[in-house]
Amino acid sequence: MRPFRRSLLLLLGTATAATLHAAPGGLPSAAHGDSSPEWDRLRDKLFTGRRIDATAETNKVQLIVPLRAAYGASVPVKIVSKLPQTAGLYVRRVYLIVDKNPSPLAAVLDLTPDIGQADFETRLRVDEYSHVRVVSELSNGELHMDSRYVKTSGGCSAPPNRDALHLIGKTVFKLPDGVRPNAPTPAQVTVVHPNDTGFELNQQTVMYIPAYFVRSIKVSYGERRLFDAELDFSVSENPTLRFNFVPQGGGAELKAEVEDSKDRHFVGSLAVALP
Amino acid sequence: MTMHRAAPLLQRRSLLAAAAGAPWVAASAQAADAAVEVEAGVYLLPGQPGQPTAANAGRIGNAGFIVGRSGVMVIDTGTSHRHGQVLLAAVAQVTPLPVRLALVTHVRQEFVFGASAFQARGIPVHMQRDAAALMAARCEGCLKAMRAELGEETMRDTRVFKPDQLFDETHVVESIGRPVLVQHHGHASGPGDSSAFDVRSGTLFAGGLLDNKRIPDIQDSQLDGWRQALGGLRSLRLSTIVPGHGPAAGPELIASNERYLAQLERRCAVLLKEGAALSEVPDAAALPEFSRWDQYDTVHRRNASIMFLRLERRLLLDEPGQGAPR
Repeated sequence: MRPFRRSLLLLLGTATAATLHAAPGGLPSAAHGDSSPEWDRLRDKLFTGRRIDATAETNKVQLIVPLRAAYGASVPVKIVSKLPQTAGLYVRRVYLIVDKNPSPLAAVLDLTPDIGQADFETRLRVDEYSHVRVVSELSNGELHMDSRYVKTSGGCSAPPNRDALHLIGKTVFKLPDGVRPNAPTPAQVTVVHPNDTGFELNQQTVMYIPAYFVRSIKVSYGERRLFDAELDFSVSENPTLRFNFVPQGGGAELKAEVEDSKDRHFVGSLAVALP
Repeated sequence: MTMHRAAPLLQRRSLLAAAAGAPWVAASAQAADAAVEVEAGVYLLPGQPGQPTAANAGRIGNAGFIVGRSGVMVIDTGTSHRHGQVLLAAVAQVTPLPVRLALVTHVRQEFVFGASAFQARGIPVHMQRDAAALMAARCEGCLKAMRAELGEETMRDTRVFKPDQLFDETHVVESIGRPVLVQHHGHASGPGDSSAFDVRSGTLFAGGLLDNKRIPDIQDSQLDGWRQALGGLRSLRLSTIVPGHGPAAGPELIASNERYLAQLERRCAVLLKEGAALSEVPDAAALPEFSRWDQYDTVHRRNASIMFLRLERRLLLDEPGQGAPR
């Protein structure tokens, strides 16, 4: 399953890159409507023939993105699930997509009921005017979607960050709101990593800096798997994920296993003590 | 502050505007393309306020020139090949002396892309080596975006150029019969920032280091280097500053830019400490003192995000060593 999905990610990336470069830049036709040619293509590949509920009143997922993103290299994106994670029914998988990016599938999150609440926050690169969308797959097979049209402020791209390369892979957890025993508790994991897209030129050599990015983050709490995230370079520098988990008993260790596109492995952990 | 300085020049400016009748000058850009004498023999070619749009042809950056005994030095080259031609025509309205060189002070689209028009006339374009490297690395992409935004016609014949003269260090230009100090400031507002100081009049062409009534863009900056460069400018005997954007001003302009950078950093540090989410930062980082500056609604919001991310990254790097690579 896992290798298959990885190759799917890559296949989708290359398939859409060609059409992207052919398209002229600038504003797409007025619409804030939900669809785009890129999405139509992706949808066929990822969810062939399946019904997707994209109606705000009935769907089970909401996406929160600023309409006018202040900084395209790091657009904050928040996913809110409108159902709790229970063993009976839960969000099994979350797809995060930036229609116009060279590699549109930014993240696929594989979830367990143990996260308590399937809300996530991360930061994405949005290179041009694009839909950002989330598709939630429930454990009963239903698909739910929400999308936002994002405009990023224009301007030249910033030179890539090249200091502290020796710290690549440093993985840090934070509990921004402290510990809530037996209740969904927000946590954040961040990996120091350039997440190079492969589209930036090195200023000194004027050669393309090869794509180099965090490919997966697997997070567990004690013995229990919380979620596996497969990521791509549409995720911003220093990839970060805010998620939930349910602290229980006497506490345990939050642990992240990280793998990047050079097959380097990193690990970070945080001992969670319950009051 | 700046008004008393600009006022006596207004008359001259409107006269020049009336005289500048080159047929290829777009009507909307015409007034802005006339030279304004800010000190004896020192001229500002003012850019327009706002973001680059088709209506202003992207001509939002200042250029300028210094007329010496034997020739002219132009500082910054405009947004497009055509804009470069317009700037050269404006110089010709003022003096018959030949343009000996052009200096590109930093790598922003509204300063670099007119250089090909200078080269087409055999005028050598000077640039600091690190700035040239940044240009080579990213300006093709930038040019593509500008063609889409401003239109093919506006950007016709514009290309990423190769500087004729690269320099590494601060030096004095003597070739126009009037000494001009070209300072290299290291990585300040961007890699390879330089400025031009006309020793005789005390006029500084500040390039990317200073803006007037416009939010400085921190995207390419190294803040420590920038502060150091601004401090260094104080050792010059300054009478007038031609900033990268906005009207000419007096030496007090340095302090206003320093104050913006300091307040931006302080505000973002507070937000980080309070645990603000990145999504809240652009609104939460409001700085009322600067709310009337041009591009407050765009560049300031982006600056706030960038500053917040930088401070956050620094914190992340300093964090005790959880998860050392294995």
